[in-house]
Amino acid sequence: MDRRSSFDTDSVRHAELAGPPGPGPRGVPAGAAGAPRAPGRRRFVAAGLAAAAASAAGAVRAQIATTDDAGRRVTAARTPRRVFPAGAPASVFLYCMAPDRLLGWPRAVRPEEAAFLLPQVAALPEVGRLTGRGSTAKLEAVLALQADLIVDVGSIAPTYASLAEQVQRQTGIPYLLLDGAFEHTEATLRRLGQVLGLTARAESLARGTRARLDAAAELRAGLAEGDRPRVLFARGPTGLATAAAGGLNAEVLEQVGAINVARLEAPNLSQISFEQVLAWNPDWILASDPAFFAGIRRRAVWSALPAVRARRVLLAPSLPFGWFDTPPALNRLVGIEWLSAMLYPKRVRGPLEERLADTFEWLYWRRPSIAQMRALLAAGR
Amino acid sequence: MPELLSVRALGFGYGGRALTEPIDLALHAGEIVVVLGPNGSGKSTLFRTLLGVLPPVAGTVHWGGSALVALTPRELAARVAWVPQQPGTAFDFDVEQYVMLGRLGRLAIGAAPGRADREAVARAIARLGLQRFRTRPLSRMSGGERQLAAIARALAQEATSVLLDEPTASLDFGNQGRVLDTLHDLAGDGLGIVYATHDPNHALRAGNDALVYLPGGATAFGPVAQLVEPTLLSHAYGVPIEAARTADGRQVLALAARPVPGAGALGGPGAGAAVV
Amino acid sequence: MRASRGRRLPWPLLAAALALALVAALLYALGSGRFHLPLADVVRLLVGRGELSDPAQTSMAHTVLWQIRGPRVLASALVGAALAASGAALQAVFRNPLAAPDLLGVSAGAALGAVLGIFLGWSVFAIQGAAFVGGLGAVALVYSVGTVLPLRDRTLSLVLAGIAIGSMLGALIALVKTLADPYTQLPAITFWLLGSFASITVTDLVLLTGFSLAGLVPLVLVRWRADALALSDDEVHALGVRLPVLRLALVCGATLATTATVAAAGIIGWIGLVVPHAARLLAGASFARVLPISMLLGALLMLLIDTLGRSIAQAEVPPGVLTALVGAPVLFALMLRRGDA
Repeated sequence: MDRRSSFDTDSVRHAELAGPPGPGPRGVPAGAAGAPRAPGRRRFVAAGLAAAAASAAGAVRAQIATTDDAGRRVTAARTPRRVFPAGAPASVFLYCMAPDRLLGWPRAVRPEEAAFLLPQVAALPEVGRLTGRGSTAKLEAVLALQADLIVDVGSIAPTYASLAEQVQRQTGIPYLLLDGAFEHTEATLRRLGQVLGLTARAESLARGTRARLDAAAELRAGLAEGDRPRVLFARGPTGLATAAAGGLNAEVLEQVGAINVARLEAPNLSQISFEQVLAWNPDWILASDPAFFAGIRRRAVWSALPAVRARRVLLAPSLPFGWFDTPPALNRLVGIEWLSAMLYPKRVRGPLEERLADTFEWLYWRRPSIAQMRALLAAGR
Repeated sequence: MPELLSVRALGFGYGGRALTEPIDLALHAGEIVVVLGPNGSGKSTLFRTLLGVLPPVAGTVHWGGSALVALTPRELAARVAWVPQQPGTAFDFDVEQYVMLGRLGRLAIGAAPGRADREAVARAIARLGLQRFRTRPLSRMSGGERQLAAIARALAQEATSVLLDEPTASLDFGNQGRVLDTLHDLAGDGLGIVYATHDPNHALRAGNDALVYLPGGATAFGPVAQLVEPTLLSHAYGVPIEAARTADGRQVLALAARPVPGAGALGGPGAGAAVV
Repeated sequence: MRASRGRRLPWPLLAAALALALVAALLYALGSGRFHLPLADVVRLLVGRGELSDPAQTSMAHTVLWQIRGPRVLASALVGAALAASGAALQAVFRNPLAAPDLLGVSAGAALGAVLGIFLGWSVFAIQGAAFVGGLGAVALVYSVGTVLPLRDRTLSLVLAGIAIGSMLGALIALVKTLADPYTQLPAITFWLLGSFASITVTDLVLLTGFSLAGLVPLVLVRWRADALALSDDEVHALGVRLPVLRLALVCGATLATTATVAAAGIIGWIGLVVPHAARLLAGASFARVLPISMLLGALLMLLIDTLGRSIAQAEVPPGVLTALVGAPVLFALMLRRGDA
């Protein structure tokens, strides 16, 4: 039986506001080159009239200007109510911080994922991704949803900064681009909280993140060089794709103090060969594909590995969001806790199900039952 | 002499409409039938029908006593070989490989050419005087030499008759004569030859019977001596044609003189462009 | 035996030289790899005698030789031979030295099958099966459409049908890519499309051998008749050669061999296009000679390229990338050297 969290996000938010709650005009972006487009102008006029009316009643909606991580100036309404996630990492951040303001998911939530999320948020529609050429979200649909803020968490390279600028100009909706690198998580959380007007929640998330990262660092420091396990991250249905050391996808391995055997030329996703795997001879194998994981002991080549024979193979669970890397966002904190426990059973004490359930409740607003937790953990080993 | 080809009341054309009135013709071993007619009259269409590529609109075609429709490709290939107007290949074979193509119809599945095939190829090459071109790629030969190679290929096929579509069309004066003489010799060896040409003098040099296309879809079939003469051909080609004799008494045909436009024009009693 | 032709080697000598080169390349390939197993050790394992340079690793060395490196090396040679033979066959059918094995859409069909399999989360074996079936299905579709089109030139109608259906299949692949999850499915799809010998197992090798040999059988049976296709349709008919049967035999054989290679190793281009050209330069235009020489050359080239691809970096360099980098300049050079092969 799961306990719905008694945490009331609305009451916390109300305490934050300087003014009375209520819908306000959509924020008009500053710093955009050229005048807003004709529809924007119409809305601007309407907004101005509404603002005049509201100010006549004594309640003025204020705006805050901020600089996002790409160095762009973004002006948004004081408390954006309807927030659009540009991609999967942003959707995770937004869900953890302000689930009631989320407009939708990049990909529809599956039933097995929904079991770990707030029901009414899990039921939100699929809205696609905004990623330039590969976008599956239509800009008109974003407008139709009446979003008053777009949030994107990920790379802040110039490509994505210019994409943000472009979308902002076309839709008139402020687009906030935040750095998704792991070490930047706390700063990202705090900035997001500032824009959303949820500084308490943001602080809670940031502190919790710091605590867990510090715990992982402490664990790392206590490891002698020879104790650090050598792990192969075997992705995909063949297990021969991997995320190289130093790249975004395998950051969890570095955080838990493991050695990513895949030291390749480029810190990205790459293909490797059987022979390479045998040459590396990892201590542990972390799989991502359930079919591959289930069949690994039956496959001639893999079963020759000492790690496989000793059953030191793990499958990173993926509910509600991937524990290891899909997507590479806040959800990885769960992965750090889990992987530490798996790799260092002697050093990490305490009931894992309880601790993970605590983390789930803190992050995802919903505490899974012990049975659910056990099922998740059993599938991974 | 055995009858190699028999055509009765044949109507040929595309889309069920005959290009000419029904045709009757016969080819015997050792004989040459020449098909004459203006451009576009349907000489190639006739050949495609005779080979079974195009179904006849009406009438019958019999090769070596058997109806064309009843013959398998291999049986047909044993009766007639085809030399197209401008022989060409997609890949650059040398003469020996090209002539070997004529033997392919005889090979069993998966078999390689054997001694008999190689000997037939050698004989055909020698017969056409192409020995020194044996390993030369076709692309590096002149048009006339390629035409001879195509005839060698037809010979290698060892069919009893050979069909040639305008074999002299793009040849120079000398090569035209060589090809015609070769055809004459081959008929002397007992082959039946049918060839199309645009030049009636060719029929006079090498031909026993002629099939002449006339205006309005009419045709005439008969001995060359009877049909290849000025009156009929003027009617066929629509220009005045005259006959003349060479020094040794052979007949040649020529276009009539160009009309003189008025007094003081140059031009003597010359015979215009003679195509002998 | 034909006497030597100008600057060309006599055929038996050429074939023997290439076969020797292939054997040398096989040995070289067997001795290279990420795992320390040099050629001397390979020989010791093969003859079953002698101690390895690192005896502690003996059982692992056995695994590497018999389960990983051996199958991979043989598979790459076989794929090269099959692709080159298919290319030669299709060039004969289409009377065009620029025809390639994927002209009839076999690669696009196989790719769609595999991409769907990845999207739906099937096992590796099912994905390969889907690729195999997809390749055959695409060509069957192209062939049916091509024979129904009312064009007088059958070859042209096949080419048009192949291009149209190939593009359609490509569009469907692109559609699946947009629907795929960008973190899990899309990378797998991308890697699959780039092609790889990295995951060849003994089972893969057995299936590949079976199907590509099955595809090569019709090609070998019609290797002499196939030259007739260089002539116009009317001429072929008059030679006594059954044109539709000949065409079907070549297309079926080429398709079966190609789809087997795509199912095993993904999409690898350029071998089927360039190698028959080189073979024609070396051995003359006759298909009966081009076929075996192409197979030897193709096997040699693919073997060397795969060995390069797994040696120059720790990560795998997709063979399709290397064949393009090597193949394009080579084709250019070949075409400059002789106007028409």
